[in-house]
Amino acid sequence: MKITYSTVLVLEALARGYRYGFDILDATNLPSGTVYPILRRFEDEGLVTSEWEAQGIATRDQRPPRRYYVLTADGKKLLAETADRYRATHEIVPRRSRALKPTRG
Amino acid sequence: MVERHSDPLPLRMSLAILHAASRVVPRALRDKWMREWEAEVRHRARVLHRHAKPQWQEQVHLMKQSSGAFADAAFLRRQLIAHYFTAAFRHFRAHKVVSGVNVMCLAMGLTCFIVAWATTAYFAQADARQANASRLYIVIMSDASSPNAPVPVVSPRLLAEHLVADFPELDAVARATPPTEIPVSVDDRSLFADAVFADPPLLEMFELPMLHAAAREASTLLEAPSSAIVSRSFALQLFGTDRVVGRTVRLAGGESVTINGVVGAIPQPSQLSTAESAGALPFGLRFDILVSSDVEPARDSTRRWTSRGYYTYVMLPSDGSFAVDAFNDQLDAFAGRNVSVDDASDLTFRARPAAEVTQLWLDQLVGANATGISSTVVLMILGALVLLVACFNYANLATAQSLTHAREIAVRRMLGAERHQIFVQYLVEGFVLTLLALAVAVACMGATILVVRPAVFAAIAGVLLPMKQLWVFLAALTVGVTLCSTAYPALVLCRVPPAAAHRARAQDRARSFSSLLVGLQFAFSGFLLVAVFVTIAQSTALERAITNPGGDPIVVIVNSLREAALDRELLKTELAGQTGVSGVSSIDFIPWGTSFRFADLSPSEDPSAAQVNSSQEIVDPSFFDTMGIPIVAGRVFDPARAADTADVDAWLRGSGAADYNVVIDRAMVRRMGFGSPDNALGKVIYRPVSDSGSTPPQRLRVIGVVEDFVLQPLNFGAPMFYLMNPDAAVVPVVRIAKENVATALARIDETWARLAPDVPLRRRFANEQYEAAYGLIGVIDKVFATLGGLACVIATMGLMGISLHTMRRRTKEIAVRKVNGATARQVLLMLLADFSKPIVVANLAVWPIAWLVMRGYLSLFAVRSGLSWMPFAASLMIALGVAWVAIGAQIARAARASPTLALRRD
Repeated sequence: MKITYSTVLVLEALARGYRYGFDILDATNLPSGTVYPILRRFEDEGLVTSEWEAQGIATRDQRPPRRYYVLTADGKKLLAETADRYRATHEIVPRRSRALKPTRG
Repeated sequence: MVERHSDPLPLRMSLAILHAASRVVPRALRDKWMREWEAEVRHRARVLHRHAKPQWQEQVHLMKQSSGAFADAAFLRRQLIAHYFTAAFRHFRAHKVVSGVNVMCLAMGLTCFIVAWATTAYFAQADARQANASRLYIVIMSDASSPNAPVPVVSPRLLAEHLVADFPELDAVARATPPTEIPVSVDDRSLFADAVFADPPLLEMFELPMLHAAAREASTLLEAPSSAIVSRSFALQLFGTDRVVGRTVRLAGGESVTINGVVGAIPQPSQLSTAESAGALPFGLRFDILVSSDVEPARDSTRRWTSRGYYTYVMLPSDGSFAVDAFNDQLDAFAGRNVSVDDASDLTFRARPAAEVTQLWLDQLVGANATGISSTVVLMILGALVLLVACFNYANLATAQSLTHAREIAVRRMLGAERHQIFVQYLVEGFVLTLLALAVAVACMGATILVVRPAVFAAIAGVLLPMKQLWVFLAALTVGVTLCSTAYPALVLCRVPPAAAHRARAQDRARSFSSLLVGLQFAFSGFLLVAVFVTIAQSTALERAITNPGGDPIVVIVNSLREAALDRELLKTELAGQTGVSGVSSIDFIPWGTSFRFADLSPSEDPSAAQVNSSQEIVDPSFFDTMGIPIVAGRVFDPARAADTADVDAWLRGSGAADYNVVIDRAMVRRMGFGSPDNALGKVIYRPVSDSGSTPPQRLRVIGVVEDFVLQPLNFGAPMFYLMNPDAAVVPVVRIAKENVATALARIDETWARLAPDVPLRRRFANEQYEAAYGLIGVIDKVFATLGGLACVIATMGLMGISLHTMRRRTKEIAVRKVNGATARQVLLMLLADFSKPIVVANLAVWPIAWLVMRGYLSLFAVRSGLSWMPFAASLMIALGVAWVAIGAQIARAARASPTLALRRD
C-alpha cells in the first residue's frame, strides 16, 4: 500500500482513539473525501476492522448506527514503521482527553 | 435513507447531497454506505445543534463534510471497476489460448475496418493544410444524356474560359491537365517526364514549397509565357543539380520552356505531388514538370463541351461574399447560357471541394453513379464485414465458453453476485480484450507501414494523429465492438439462474444462437470468397483479352509521333522491315490507357430516340490485321478507297455531310438491334448533334463488323466503333513474333534511335500498359483476396473453438450412441453434417446478394469473365474444406473415444 502523509495522519488518529469517520476528519483536519477512501483501503489491506455501534444508542439518538474503525496489529505495526518518516504527525493529531470505546452492536 | 420534515434545513440539504452521491456507489454496497454516512451526518448535526451554532454555520459545516461523499462514492466505484479489470486479466491468464485466438481475430477485423476508415479519412484531408483549403473547389461536369460517360472530374477546356467570363466574383480559376508522359530534353540529354500543363492561377490556389525560384512570390512563377516548375528529383536527374532556375528545356513538340522554380517535397495528401512525395493521392496531379498552359500541345482543338481533358479548379473569395451554394445555384443558368444547342445537350455543373477529387474518381470506379453507393461506403462495408465476422466469432466463443462455466456462474449468483454485476464484468472483459486487439491491430499496421514504407508512415501519421476524429473513431469503435461482441454472451451469463445452471433450455437457446453466428460468419466470408474468385477471374479474362497469350505480343510505342516529329509512313516502313516485327499500325490514343473517347450513337435519325454511349477509336487501315482482330462480316478499311478515310476534324466538330464509313464490333450489332453481323452491313448509325434536330445528325455507314476487342478496359460496357484516318492515328502499335521477341525489341529500339535521336523511346507491352494504367484494379483484387482470406481464417478459428466446446459437451451423447450400436464412422459423419449445416445454409443464403453485387462489378468492364456457378461452388467447397480440416481431428477423436470411459467419467 502506498504510504502518504495523509494515510499516516489517519493511522495516527486511529491510534489515538478517534474511531468514527467524522471524528477522524476533525482530528486530522483532512477532508471527508480523503479520509473515507483511506479507511476503505485500510480495511481492504487488513490494517483496520470496522464494526457498527449498538443499535440502542442509534435508536436513542434517532439515527442509524455509526460505523467505527479500529486499528489491527498490522495497522499498529505499519504506524510504528512510518513513525520515523512522519514525526510531525504526532504533533498535528491532538490527543484525546479520553478514549471513548464504542459499544459493540 | 429517511428524511424527516422535522429535520433542520442544513441536515436536509446534506442528506440530499448524500442521496445524490449514493447513485455513484456500486449497488451492492449502497445501503451500507448510505447508513454509514447518514449516521455520521445526523450525529454531527445533533452535536452542532447542541452547541447552538448559528444555522448558517451549521449548514456550511455539514455541507463541507457531506461533499466528500462524492469522492468516497467515486472511490468505491473505481475499486469495483478495477476489480472487474483484475478479474478480466485473471480470466485471460486462465484461458490463454481462447483469449489469444479472440484477440488475434478481433485484431484482424479491426485492422480491416481501421484501414478502410483511415484511407478515406486520409483522402478527405487533401490539401487541408493549404491556406486556401476551405475555398478550393473543383467543377465537375455530368452529362444527363450519357449517364454512363465516365469521369465527371475531367471537364472541357471551354469550362474555365466561361467561368472566368461569367463569374468575376471568383478569386481564381485554373485548369490543369492530368499528368501525361512527354520527353523533356536539354542539350543532348533527354528524359521522359510526367508533365502537367496548368493555368498560372493554379499556384495562387496551391502553395508549393519552392527550393529555388525566379521570383519571391511563388504564385507568379507560371505567369510568364513558356515557363515551368520542376521537381527537385527531376532537376537532379536531368541537370545533375537543383540550381536550374533560368535554364531552358525542350518539350516533345519542340517548344522551349524556362524553368522558373524548383519545388521540394510537397506535403501530402495534396492534389499536387512529385516523385519525392510519399503518400501521394491516386489520380492527383503528380508531376516532374509543371508547365504553363500556353505551351500545352493542343489536346482539344475542337472546343466542344463534351471533349473532356482538364481539371477545372476555382477559388472562392476569402471574405465569404460568394459562397459555394450560391455558386452552384448559378451554375445551372451558366450551363444554359454557355453550352450551345448544337453541342452536347444536357450538361450540368457542380462545384465540389477540391479534396474530393480522389473520392470522385474512386466513385467512378465502383460505379457509384449506377448504384448510388460511394467508394467510401463500399470500402467501409468491406472492412465492416470482416470486423463483424470477428465480432461474431468472439460472441460465439464467449457464449460457448460461458455455457461450460455455467456452474461457476451459478455458484457466484448463489454467493450474492447480482445479474448486472455479472453482465458488467463480462462487458469489461470484452472491453479489455477489444482494447488489446486494438493495440495489436494498430501496432501491426504501424509497424508494417513503418518497415515497408517509412516515408508513407510519416505522411499518414502526420495527417491522422492530430485529427480529433481519429480518437473519437477509435473510442467509438472500441465501444461498438465491445457491445457487438460481448453483449449477447454477457446477457446469456447474467440470466443463468443460481439454481438452474444445468437446465437444458438456456443451453439450447444459446446453441441455436451459436449456429446462427457461425452461419453469419460463413455468410460474410462466403460473400468475400465469391468476390475473390470473381475478381480474379475477371482480371484473368481482361489480361487474356489484352495480352493475347500464346499469340504474338503487342508493343505500344507510348511516344506520340506528332510530338516526336516523326513521319508515320517512314516509321511504319522502317519497322515493318525489321526482323521479328510482324505488323505495324497506329491508333489515335494510347490503347489500354486512361483516356476515354465516347460518342452517343443511335440506330434512329430521331434525336429523341435512345442513344448508346459508344467507345470511339480512330485507327490506320492495318490496325485490325496488326492487332489480330478477326473480321466477322463485310470488310475493314481500305486506304485505296477515299470514302474510308474519315474527316476527323469534321467528325469531332459534329459536322460532315457525307456518311462516315465505320467498322463496328459485335457488341454494337447487338446494342443497335441489327440482329446479325451480316445484317448490319450497309446500315446507318446516327450521332445526334442537337437535341432539337436543327442540325442533321452525323451518319455512320457500317462497312464491316469485327470481333469484340478491348482497347479501353473500363469502357463501362460501351460497344466500339472504328473510324479510319492515318493522320489522326499517331500512337504506333507493333506486333512482334513471339519466337523473336528480344531481337524484335532491339530492332525497334535501333530504328527509333536512328529516326528520332532526340526523343527517347518509351515502349510498353500491352499488359504493362494495362497495369500502368489500371494498377488500381490489381489493388481491388488484392483487397478482396485479403479480406476474403482473413474472414475465412477468422470464421474457421471460431469454428475450431466452437467444435472444442461442442465435443466436450456432447461426449456423453456420443458415448450413448456408440453403446447403442452407432459406429465411429456414423458418429463422424453425423458430427460433420452438424457442423456443415450452418456453413452450407449461410453460403446458399448469401449467394443471391453476392450474385447481384458481382454482376454490378463486372458491368464496369468491357470484357467480362461471365458470372458462372464456379466461384459460388468454389467458395462453398473452400469454406467446407477448411472447416473440415480445422475440426476433423477433434471430431475423429470424439468419434473414436471409448464410450465406457466417457460414461464412467461423467
